[in-house]
Amino acid sequence: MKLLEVKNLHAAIDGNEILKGINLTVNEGEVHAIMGPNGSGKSTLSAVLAGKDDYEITEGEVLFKGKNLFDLEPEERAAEGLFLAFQYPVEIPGVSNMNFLKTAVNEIREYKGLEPLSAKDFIKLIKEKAKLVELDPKFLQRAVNEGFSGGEKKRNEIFQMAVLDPKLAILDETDSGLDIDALRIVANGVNKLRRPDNATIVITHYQRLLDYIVPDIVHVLYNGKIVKTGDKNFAMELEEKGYDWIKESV
Amino acid sequence: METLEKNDIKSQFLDLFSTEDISKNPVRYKALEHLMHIPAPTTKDEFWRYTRVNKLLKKNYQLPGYEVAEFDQSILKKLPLNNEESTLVFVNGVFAKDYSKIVNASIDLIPFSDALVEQKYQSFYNKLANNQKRFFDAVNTAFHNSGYILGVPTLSNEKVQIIQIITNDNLLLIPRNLILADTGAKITIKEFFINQSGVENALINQLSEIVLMPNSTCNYYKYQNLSNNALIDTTHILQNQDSAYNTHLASYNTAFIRNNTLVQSSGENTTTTVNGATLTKENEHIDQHIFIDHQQPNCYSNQLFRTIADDKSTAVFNGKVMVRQDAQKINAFQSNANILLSDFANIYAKPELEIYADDVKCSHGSSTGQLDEEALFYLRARGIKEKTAQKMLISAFLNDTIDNIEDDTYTAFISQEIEQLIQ
Repeated sequence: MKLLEVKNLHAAIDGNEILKGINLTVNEGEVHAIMGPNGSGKSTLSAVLAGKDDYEITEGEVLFKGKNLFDLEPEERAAEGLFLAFQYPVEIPGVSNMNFLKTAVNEIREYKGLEPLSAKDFIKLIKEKAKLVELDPKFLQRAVNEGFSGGEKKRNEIFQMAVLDPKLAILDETDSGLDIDALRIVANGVNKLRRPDNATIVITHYQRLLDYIVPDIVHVLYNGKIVKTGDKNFAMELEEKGYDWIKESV
Repeated sequence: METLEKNDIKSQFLDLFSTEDISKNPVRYKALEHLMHIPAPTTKDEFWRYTRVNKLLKKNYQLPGYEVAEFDQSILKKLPLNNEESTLVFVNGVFAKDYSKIVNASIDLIPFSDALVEQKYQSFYNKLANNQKRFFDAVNTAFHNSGYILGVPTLSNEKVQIIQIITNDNLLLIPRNLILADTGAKITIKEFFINQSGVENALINQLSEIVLMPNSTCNYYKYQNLSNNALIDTTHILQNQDSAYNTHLASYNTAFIRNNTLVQSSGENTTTTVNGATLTKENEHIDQHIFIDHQQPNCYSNQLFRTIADDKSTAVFNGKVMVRQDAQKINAFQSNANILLSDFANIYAKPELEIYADDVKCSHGSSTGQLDEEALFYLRARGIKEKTAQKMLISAFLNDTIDNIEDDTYTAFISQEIEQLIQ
């Protein structure tokens, strides 16, 4: 089943067109990698899909589970099962991870017409998912991302993803700033969450992450368009040759 | 006694009081004499630049009666009161004995009386109030009609609750308090200013003098929630060596508040913490004025104020630290952050440092802006509705000020109220 259909998507910021006609279809069970040089529009694509309102959609449409994505507020997209792991997770002083996640879980349940989770069930869920990303439960009492190292922030993103259990997760440069151990933990977490009925888009500059999260399909985004698509071996080829040959061939 | 020009804005205000009664008490009479020469503050006054009082002084007021008025007791039940703590309840300034109690006979906790002051507290009374220069100090000294005396003996640890309830429209309430913590004593005061639902246009002018003897501690938590009434609250604190003063001001849901927290650190090794959370809505006006005067070396002070202003309201923060020439090795910090929720709200922030010593560590920071858009988006991207996300960020922001309150029930209460206020 098709989860995400991006059709001729154009988006601009301050009158500058960044996305210039993206076409992309993601089916259940698939892992897509979107690679590309800096400034090609990778992060813009993830921000537009998550609903950041800094961007103006100038053309095209996006369907998520058959619904027009742009009719939905960011929180409705999340409740429908779209998850963005931020490249730069935001620090929120004064809001504990626990309170944050509890509110998120229960607001999504409310959206789906479900009763809020009992305190007991919530704790059980949290403990189980914390294990998945090898997270110390003490961490839950701390304010969201405040004073976290780069690696802890990224791990926290994957932890949130585990708790919210999305249909489609977009990992925006999740590997940036991670050492090899942290990268392994994060990738393990993502792999354990893979199921035939969900999908993942991994956005990355480097091939390294794709050694751990093996994609089915690899796209190259350049100058606001997807210019090449291939299988997992294509990523290795890119790593070897760099992006310059792509730039030349387009 | 001179008489006032009829066009002086304070004349109508002062006409309420009978000078005959005042003249019987030399302290009151002296203050009244000063008052004749002090103009009411205007916005030309640096300390009152953003806060006008002439409208308040022009209103018609009534003085309190002598009987305890009936009141809706459910308003007491809403407060985070502890039955094991000594409690004084005042209704329209009148001491309500039936609702009050003293749990420890070794302390003095009594409604203010000139007679008691003369016997026991003469050397402390009216030493900090500045009746020559400060208009509302002089008004209070001349005309106070409520308040309490609290004396805690050496090495004892006492917690008290003070409740001032307003049930009359147009009431003019002038509480005078004197607090003395003897050597090594610890006092925790929770003070609640509340009104019966629907009561409006009262004016309260409170003045407290707090004397902290060596090595004593005073925690003073002020809860100010007075709907459509006005409060001018001046607290003078004298800190002797090794003493600590920690205060938190919860100021919201009130038409007009002006707090003056005025600390004289006149001994070495004192600690002073002045925190506050201000929330203004509609046409409310709340002004937090702090002055910490470091006169002696090796002291620490910290101010932490957070403000949210919505609708057409106005909030003011003016925190000043003075470090005198002999006051070396002072650590004085000030942090003030403000959030505007509406295009029509005003925030005036004026952090000030005046330093004459050379070996000090002082900092001040003040910022005014909107809610953090990035944080808001992050919460929404996790499925949290915009309105809920805003509430979470606002309460987190204001709750930053309540961390060092040493009373969990009170802290939880403030935190809950803040959450309810930002619907």
